[in-house]
Amino acid sequence: MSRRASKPSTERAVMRPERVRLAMLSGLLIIGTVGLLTRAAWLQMVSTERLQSEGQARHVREHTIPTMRGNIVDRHGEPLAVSTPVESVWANPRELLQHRDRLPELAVALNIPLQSLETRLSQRAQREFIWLLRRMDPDQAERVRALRIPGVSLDQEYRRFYPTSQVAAQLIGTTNIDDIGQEGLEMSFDHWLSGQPGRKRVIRNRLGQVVEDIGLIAEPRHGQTLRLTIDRRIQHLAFRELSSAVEAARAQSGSVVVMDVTNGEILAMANVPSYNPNAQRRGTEVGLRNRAVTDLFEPGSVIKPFLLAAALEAQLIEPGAMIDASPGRMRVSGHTIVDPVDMGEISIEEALARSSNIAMVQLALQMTPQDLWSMYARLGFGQVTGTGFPGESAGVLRDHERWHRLEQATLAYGYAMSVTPLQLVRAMAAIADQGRLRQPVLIVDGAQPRAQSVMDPTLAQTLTEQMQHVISHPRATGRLARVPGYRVAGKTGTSRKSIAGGYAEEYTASFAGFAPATRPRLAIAVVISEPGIEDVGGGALAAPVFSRVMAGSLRLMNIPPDDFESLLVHSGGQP
Amino acid sequence: MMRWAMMMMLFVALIASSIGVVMLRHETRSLFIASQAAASERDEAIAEWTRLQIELAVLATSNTIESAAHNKLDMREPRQVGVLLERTP
Repeated sequence: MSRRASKPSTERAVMRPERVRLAMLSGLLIIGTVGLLTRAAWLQMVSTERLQSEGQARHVREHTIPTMRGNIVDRHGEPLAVSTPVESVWANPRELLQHRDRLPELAVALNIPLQSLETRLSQRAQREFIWLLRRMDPDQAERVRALRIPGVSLDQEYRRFYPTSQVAAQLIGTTNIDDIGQEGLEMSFDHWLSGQPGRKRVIRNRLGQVVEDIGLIAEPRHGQTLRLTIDRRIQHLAFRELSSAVEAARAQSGSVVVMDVTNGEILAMANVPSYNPNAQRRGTEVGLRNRAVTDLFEPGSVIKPFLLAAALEAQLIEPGAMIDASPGRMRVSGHTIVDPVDMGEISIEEALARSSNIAMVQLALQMTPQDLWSMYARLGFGQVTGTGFPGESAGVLRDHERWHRLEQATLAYGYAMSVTPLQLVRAMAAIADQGRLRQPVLIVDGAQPRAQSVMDPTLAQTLTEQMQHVISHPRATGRLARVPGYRVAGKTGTSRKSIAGGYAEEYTASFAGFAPATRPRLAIAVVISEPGIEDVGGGALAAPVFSRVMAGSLRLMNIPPDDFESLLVHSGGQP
Repeated sequence: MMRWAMMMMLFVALIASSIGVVMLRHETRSLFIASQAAASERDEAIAEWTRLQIELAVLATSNTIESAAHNKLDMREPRQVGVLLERTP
C-alpha cells in the first residue's frame, strides 16, 4: 500500500522532463514540416524550371511495337506480296516550332519545300503529333536521324511490295497507308495477314527518343503468311496472253481463270485492264476490279454443252441423234432465232461443234423448264462460288416457274441469264471431273471443301466426248483452241451485250474448256469483252488464248500428252 | 528474449528480401534489355531478308527471265514436239 501511496508524487516528479522532451520533439517536427512545405512551395511556385525539365527528360510511356503484315506467296512459296520495314518521320509541332532555325535543314533532308513544311507545322501548332513523311527509304531516314532536331522522331512502319506488279493485282488487292487490306485477298484475309501490335513500357527523353526499355506489356504477334493456290508462272502466262489478245482485238477488258479440276484450286486468275499496285497513285476504278469474279456477262453459246447435258439427262435424245436445223431460222413467240447458215440435218455433235442455235432451241423447248433449270442450277449458275472474294457476283438465273417460252428458248444459247468467268470455269470443271462440282479454292490451307455430285459420271463422259468435236470437227467453231499433243474439250461463245431495250453492237467473246480430255486436269475460261473489231466470235478471239494458256500450263504442270497420234513421227521420217 | 530473436530474424529476412527484390529487378531489366537487343537484331535480319526476297522476286519475274531467254540467250520454244514410237514387229 505504501508504494501505491508514494506513486503520485514520483510521477509528478518524473513528468516534468517528459513534457520537456515532448515539447522539444513536437517543435522539431513542426520545424521540419514547415521546412519541407516551404521547400515544396518554393519548387512548385518559384523555382519551377529545373524540376520541369527533369520531369520532361524522363517520361515513362507506353510504346507500341509495330508488327509485320504477313506475306502472300504462291503455291510454291514465291512471294506475291511482301512487307518490308521502312521509317516514317513525325514531329511534335509545339516543340519543333521552338527551333524554327533548324527547319531549313529538315526541309532539305525530307526533300519537301520549306514553305509547305512551315505551313503544315503552324496549322497544327497546338498538336503534339504530325506525320512529316511516311515510308522513306533507309538512306533518307538515316539523314533525318543524323540531324537530331528536337521534336522530330522516326518510327518504324511497313511498306507493302508486290513483285508480280500488275499480273495479279486485282486478285491480291492492296492495302492502305495504315497497312489495312482494302481490295482483293488483302481485304478478305486481313485478319489473317495483320498481326497484333505489342506494347512495352519505355522511358523516353525530351526528344521523344526511347532511352530505356523497362518492361513488356503485351508480346507482339506478327501476321501470318497466306499461301495461295495461284502458280506465279501460270498467272504470268495467262496475263501475258490475255493482255496481248485484248490489245490486238482493241477490247475493253478480259479475264482468264485456270482451275485444277481435280481439287478446285485456282491456278491463275488474270484480268485486263490492270494497274500497278506498287505505284503511289493507284489505277482507275476500272482496273481495280477482279472481273473474273465480279463481272457478269450473258454467256452465249458457251452454255450449250450444259443444255445438251440437260437434254441427255432428260433422255430426249441419245448421243449421235440427228436434228433438223433447216432452214436456219425459226420463230418463237414472235421472235426470230437464226443460225449463221442453214445447216440442214445434223447430228447433235455437229450441232454443238458448229454452234447451231436452232438445234439447241428445239431441244430446250422439248424439255420441261424444271429439267433445264435444274441442270443449270446444279452446275452452280446463279449462286456464289463461295471463295469469299469481296464483291463476288452470284450471277442471274431466274426461277423456272417464272419463265416464258421465249426465255426458255434463249436460255438454250446462253441469253436471259448471266454468269461470271469463275462460275463458267467451275461448271466446265464439273463436267471434266465426272460430274463433281467443286468450290473454287484460292488458299492452300489443307481444308478441302467436299465436291458435290451434280450429274451422272457416264453423262459427263459423253459430254466430254461431244465437246471434243468443238475443237476437232473440220467445220467447228473452236478449232483454234487446239493444243498440240492433247485432246481438248470445250465450247466457244459469242454474245451481244444487253442494253436497255435490246442488244448492242458490242459483244463478248468467250471460250471455256478443259484438257487432257481423256484424263482431265485443267479447266480454263477465257472471256474477252467488247472487242473493237467487227463480228469476230469467241472462236477467233478467245480460243487462241485458251490454246496458248492451256499448252503452257500443261507443260508447267508436267501433265503428259494424251493425243500421241498428232505427235507421232513415223520411224525413219524426219522429226 | 524470444521476442528479440523473432524481431531479429524478421529484420534479417526483411533486409534479405529487399536486397533480393533489388537484385531481381536489376536482373529483369538487364535481361529485358538483352532481349530487346536480340529482338531488334532479329527485326534487322527480317528486314534484310524481306529486302533480299523482294530483290530476288524482282530479278526473277517471268518478264525478266523471258526477255533474258529470248534476247540474250536466243532461246525459242520448240515449234513442234516430235514423238518417235518404236514399233516392235
